Amino acid sequence: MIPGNAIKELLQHNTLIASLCGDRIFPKIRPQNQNELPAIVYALITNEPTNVKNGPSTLDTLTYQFSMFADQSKYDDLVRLREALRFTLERISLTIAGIQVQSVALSQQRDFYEEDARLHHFADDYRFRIIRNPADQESISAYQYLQRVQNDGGEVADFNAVKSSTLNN
Amino acid sequence: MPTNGIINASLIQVRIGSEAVAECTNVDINLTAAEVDQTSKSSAGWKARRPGLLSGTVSIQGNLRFDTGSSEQGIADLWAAFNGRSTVALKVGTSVSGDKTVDGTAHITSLNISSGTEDNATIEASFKFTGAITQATNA
Repeated sequence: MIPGNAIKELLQHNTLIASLCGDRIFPKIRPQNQNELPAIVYALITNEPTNVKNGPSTLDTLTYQFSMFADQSKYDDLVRLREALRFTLERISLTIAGIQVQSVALSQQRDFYEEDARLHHFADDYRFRIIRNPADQESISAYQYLQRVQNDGGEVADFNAVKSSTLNN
Repeated sequence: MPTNGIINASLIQVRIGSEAVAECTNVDINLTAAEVDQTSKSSAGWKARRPGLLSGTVSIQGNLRFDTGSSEQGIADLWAAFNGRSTVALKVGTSVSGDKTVDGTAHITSLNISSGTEDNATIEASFKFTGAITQATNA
């Protein structure tokens, strides 16, 4: 998963997004006291690991949904925001907060209108291909632990000893 | 001690020599016995047959990567075996002590690479056994 504000910082590099949204780009939820619009809320909705026989996934495909909101009189702004978002994300390859993003692809776009709040709402999904190197993780994975246990003859070893040994090898 | 219960399919790998194929996602092994027709006038109108030549194939699917580990078999190794028309020692099964494996010598009859868009590039290789196929037990 890409850490909290990393996507926000990426989006704010786009001057159009920054001029339209300012600081109103939120992971997961828009604060209740935040009424100024337009705004973007993004959230992880699925993670599809690449399951292979010989170990943990080395490539995860994360789908993030970007929900964009604008007042009913600001439909054009929302369209521009959507295009700026697409321009910023589509087919980029970079490292965000230490996470290696191989590529980003637009998956789908949907338009809504929030009757009660009288807001235009766009929901766009992007698929992030994330390259993982489980050996670089700070903590031992359950897979590594079980592999070590198996190598040790099936005896359930002391977890901390195995963790320390595995990280040092 | 062999694996208990229904086997987790992830454990079943193809090893070439002692090295597993990298990034493998699926393994199929098919063993067949040819039919020898024994139908005669005394078969009372029923088809009669007995098994003839035994043979087997293995096919694998996986993700394509070039930076495979030194103790894994990757696309370069598969290509070398294919291009060299060489036979390889195949072992299909888990690596758990006491589990059964299917062993034999085989050559690669097809090697495919598929590449869509914004998706994993994949490989598929098919092997045909030549000579005896044996069942072994992991030490």
